[in-house]
Amino acid sequence: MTPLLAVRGLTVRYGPPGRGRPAVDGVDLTVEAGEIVAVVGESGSGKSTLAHALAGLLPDTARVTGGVVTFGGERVDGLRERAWRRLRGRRIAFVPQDPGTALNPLMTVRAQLAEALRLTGTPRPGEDALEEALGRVGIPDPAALLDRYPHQLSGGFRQRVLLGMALAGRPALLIADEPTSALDTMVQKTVLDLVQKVAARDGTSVLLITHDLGVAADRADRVAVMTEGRVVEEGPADRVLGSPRAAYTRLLLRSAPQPLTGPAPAPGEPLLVVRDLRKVYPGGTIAVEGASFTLDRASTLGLVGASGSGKSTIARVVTGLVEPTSGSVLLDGAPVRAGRVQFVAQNPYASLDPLMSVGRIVAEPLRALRAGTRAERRERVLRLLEDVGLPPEVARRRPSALSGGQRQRVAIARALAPSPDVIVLDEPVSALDTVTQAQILALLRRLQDKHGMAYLLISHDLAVVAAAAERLAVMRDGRIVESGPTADVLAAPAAPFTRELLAAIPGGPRRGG
Amino acid sequence: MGRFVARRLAQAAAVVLAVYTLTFAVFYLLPADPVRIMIGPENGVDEARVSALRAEYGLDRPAAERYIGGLLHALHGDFGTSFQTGREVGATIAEAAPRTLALAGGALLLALPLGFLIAWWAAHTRRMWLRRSLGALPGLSLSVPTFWLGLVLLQAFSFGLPLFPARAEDGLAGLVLPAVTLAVPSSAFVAQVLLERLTVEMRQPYVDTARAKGASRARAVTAHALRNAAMPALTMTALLVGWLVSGSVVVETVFARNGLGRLIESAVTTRDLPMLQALVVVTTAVVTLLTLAVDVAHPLVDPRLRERAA
Repeated sequence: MTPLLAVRGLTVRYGPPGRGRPAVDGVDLTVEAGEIVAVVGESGSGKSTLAHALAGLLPDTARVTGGVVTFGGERVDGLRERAWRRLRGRRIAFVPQDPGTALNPLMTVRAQLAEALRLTGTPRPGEDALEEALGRVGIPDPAALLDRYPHQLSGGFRQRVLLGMALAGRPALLIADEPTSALDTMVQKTVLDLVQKVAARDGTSVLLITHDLGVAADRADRVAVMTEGRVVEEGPADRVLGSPRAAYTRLLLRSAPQPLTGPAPAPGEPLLVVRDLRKVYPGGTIAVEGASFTLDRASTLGLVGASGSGKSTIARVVTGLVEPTSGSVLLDGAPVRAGRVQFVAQNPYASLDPLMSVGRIVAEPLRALRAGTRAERRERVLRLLEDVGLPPEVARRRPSALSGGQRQRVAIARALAPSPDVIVLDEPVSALDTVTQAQILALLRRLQDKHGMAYLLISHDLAVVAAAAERLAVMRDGRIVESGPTADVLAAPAAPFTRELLAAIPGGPRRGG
Repeated sequence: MGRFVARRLAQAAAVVLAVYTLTFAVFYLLPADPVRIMIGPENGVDEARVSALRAEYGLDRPAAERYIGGLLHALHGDFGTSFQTGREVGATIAEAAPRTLALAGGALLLALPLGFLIAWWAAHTRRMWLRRSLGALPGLSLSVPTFWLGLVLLQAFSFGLPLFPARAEDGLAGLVLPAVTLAVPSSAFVAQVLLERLTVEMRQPYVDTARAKGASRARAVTAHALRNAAMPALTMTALLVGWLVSGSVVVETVFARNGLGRLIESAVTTRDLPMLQALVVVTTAVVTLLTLAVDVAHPLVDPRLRERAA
């Protein structure tokens, strides 16, 4: 039987011909009917370009320069736009990466879903057709959702609507480009469960693009590992993850966060004490309700919870960016003085001023605190860059010249500059690839050993927190529902919510095994 | 929504008041004497005549009284009498305004579809040379001086091919060439702003989603990207109306039409301060109201703003 999708030697280039390395470089890939195939790779590996090429959605700057692609036995490489339009939606569906931007913000769910149905052969979709399409993707009350706008929905529901639209035409192949990387672990699990369920029910094949080996391991029948535009390893999921042959696959596996082991930490010397913290935003939203915790000197406390659980508000209150409604934050028994608590934000692409040089960015807290002379500050910046593993010439560059991992190193150097007692890390690695993530977590550990500051590590990913924090606190709906030494909490979670979080970690049993 | 509109109205009123105050200060409070400015240095100074004129225009009264009085009258459409003609400023403007309004309206009617068409086509086509050429058009037409374009059009379609009258005060035929002259740079403004936004919007994931559903490229541009890109172009259009008034100074001169442009020109050359002040304030009021209308329209288009405005 011919496979549903067969890709042989596919090559895609950006920009003028003959220049640079192709983004997709001679890729072979097969997807059988009803099969889930995962393509795993870092950002820049070409996996997203591959996904777009297979859906006929390459940007105008990219061209297929080689290879043969057959879909359902017919060649589809080099198809004209008109022919692609007959395939898209009806035979090949595509779900883009970020549910936050993948729906038209000006149109209701109804309008966008009706468009999908109209374009795939239901000329006048009635109320029942619309509701059925949403019901199929597990939306409990479709009628209530139809007249909402995308911004009124949570990330998980937006992704369901996108899936519902993609599946409206009963396609044979669903291409999902990192469908859950913008969602937190719990929502990721529900969305991926749904994809698996629908695929099994309708016999739809799925090409799942992901950077997370755990996701691939859990969901895929077969896995292809991609780096630098090439597939370096391909095979059944169990085989690729169980006995990887390519060096790069082994590196990916090694980089997956491993929970800290060893004896529970001895009670340390309390440094940051937060008592009965409450934060109500104007409009009455209660973000944090009675949160208390203690951060010991030179230790790491992990704060884990779903998006909207209030953990980012705590980060902002502790850093002094937001005033608490009530409660106290004491550092060494006194209110926090300027510069003693520093902050590393989630998105290293947005947290660095694009017009400033890296040197100025790192020196900024020192200038703000009027510390040292110009020459001393310059000297200190170079030492800080060395500390975070960046060469001194980076000081003259702009953030745009750096990779995501390098940018996060710059943000850490900036936080380090005034020699703070505490650094608040708000999802410091969630925007980074697995390998880079492991490097940054190792760097943070090294810096803590060297300088002895404490970290408050905030993440939705329990695996990341478990790999970096000796103690952790679990948050839900503004409250801390469980806290204790990491090893104890993981071994015997007391709160049901913690158990749910644990179960949602992709690649669960494989990780740390 | 009501409070949002009320706040914007108050802001608009404040802008117009500020412009009135500023023109009053510049024209009447600076040490230069408005009557002497009006008479001009070329005429000998006859002190008796200066004080007579000053009394005639009420310039001998205290500044505060003139400011408040002028403001109250202006609210009723009374901007005083012209230094030059002795006629009522309000009536003169009301007489000239319709012709300029027809000109500006005609220019906008041509410019908006043209600007949208250029931007739409450039965003839609996948031929790189065509996209680049269309993208270069706005810059090109903006760098053509309006008076030159007007003269070329006159030469070609009035004197060369006698299709349109060279001077025509009224009627549609006389409106065509001047409106085209103004529409060319106006469409460029619209196309430039719209295309820039469209280019950004076309790269948004929701456009991929639309095309993945099976929508054609034309539909992706028209039904999805264009709506998201339209707002800056609409704001631009409101500002464009202010630009059209100043553009009419040149065009009405080239085509010998009487309108606000000619009025501005003559008020400047004859140093007719009441007339100038009224023209500035009225133009400001029109542009501010149009900007306000666009601001109020934003939430109608964008549901995210609707909630913030509520």
